[in-house]
Amino acid sequence: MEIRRYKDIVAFKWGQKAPIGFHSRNMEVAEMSLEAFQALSPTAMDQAEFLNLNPDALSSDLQALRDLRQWQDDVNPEAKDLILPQKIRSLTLNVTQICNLHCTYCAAGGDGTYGEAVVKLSVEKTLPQLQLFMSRLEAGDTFHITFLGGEPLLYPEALVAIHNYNLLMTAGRQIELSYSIITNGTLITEEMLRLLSPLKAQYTLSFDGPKDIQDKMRPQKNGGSSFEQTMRGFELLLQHKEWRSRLLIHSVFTATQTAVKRSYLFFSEFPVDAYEFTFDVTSGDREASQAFTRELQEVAELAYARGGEQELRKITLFDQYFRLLDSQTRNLNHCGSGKSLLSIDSKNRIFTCPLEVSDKSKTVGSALDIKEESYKDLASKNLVDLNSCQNCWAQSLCGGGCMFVHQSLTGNKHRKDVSYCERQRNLISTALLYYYTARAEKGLC
Amino acid sequence: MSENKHIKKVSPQKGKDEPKKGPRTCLPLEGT
Repeated sequence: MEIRRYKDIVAFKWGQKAPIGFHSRNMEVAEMSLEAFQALSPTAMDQAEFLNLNPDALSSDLQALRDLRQWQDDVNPEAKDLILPQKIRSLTLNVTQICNLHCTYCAAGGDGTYGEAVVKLSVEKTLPQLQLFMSRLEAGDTFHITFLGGEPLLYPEALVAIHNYNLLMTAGRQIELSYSIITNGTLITEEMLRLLSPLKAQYTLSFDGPKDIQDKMRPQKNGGSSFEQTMRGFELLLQHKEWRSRLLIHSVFTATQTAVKRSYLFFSEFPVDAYEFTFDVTSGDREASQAFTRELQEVAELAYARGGEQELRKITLFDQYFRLLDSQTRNLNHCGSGKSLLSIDSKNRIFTCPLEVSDKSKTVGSALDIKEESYKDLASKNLVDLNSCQNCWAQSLCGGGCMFVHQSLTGNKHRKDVSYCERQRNLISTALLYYYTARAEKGLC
Repeated sequence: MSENKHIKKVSPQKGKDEPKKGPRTCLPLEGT
């Protein structure tokens, strides 16, 4: 694949196919002539330079140059920024900081404890925190809680108590409550799902693939197999659709395990709503990152061949880019950290990111004492600016990337690692190719 | 959208799948 750039425009050429262009400020995708493509300056996936036209091409097709300049200068009145809610509408809660599995890449301190084992969060101490955030909501707002661990289903009663409290606190206020439960699935029983059914939660099942992969990556604490128990939980979730909202599969790939296609083929046999395939947030292994990217690109090809846009968009990564492109919305914030999202650990300390809980120096509050001053930049500035992404063509889809990854790989949450940016750009280029393919079926203008 | 011989834009599918009301909570953990 060849990549070229001219200011806000980037273009890709895959083999013999027509070049595809993307105007990142205008959020437009287009088929480009070969002459126009050649007038752009060559660049690479690990580069983010703001380039001018290719000087070697300046004397060639004048109409192509004019057309390119016109597209660059166009202002699409439909394109807009994703407006951030200036209030916390999403919390992650560490229901426990212990886990019955010992995943090889665990970002929660290596064992689900974040360096401090806590068997159960105190519901009594947590409810006033929830009340504080809910008291700031207005009619029409949403409020989302993601239950995390450790393994949150070691203490399912806490989820029910929190939901009951939330119902009381939002009664008659037209606030939409929603929940996600991120679980390894091994403890799920029919009784537990029934108990949790009033939450109508989205379940994200952490599950890496067929037995050999799952047991290698997500063994029990004693090193034994987790596959059969995870499958049991998975089957119960599939069986009891009436007690939940969406069911997502979350698989992590690492420096030693990049077989995304095997996982996709395994999970696509089941009626799940979506797949979330991610690369280890602490790995800076560039070759493995590239291998993961290639695998995910093969999966995209396979998914599109099997079921077109609908099947491709079951992969959450591609779905989010399609949404942004269809609505021509620039996403300048990879996540809501410090803006719409805060995280509460099992000791009721507050953080701006759920993955930062291992580092107590990152605490921004405790109980009802929130030190908003300590994260005012994060709360008020866009991540593409904080992370210096202004010259990158992928900024409006990437949103500045994951600060936890940046911190892990470079020691600074606002400084990016090249392997991460390269992966993001490659996957975004793939999304653009399929977006073009899907929308071009309805004609070009 | 303007006429352009060398650049043929695709039309977005409007109104069907708007992005979530705010930024995502946390991609590695949720991905919505």
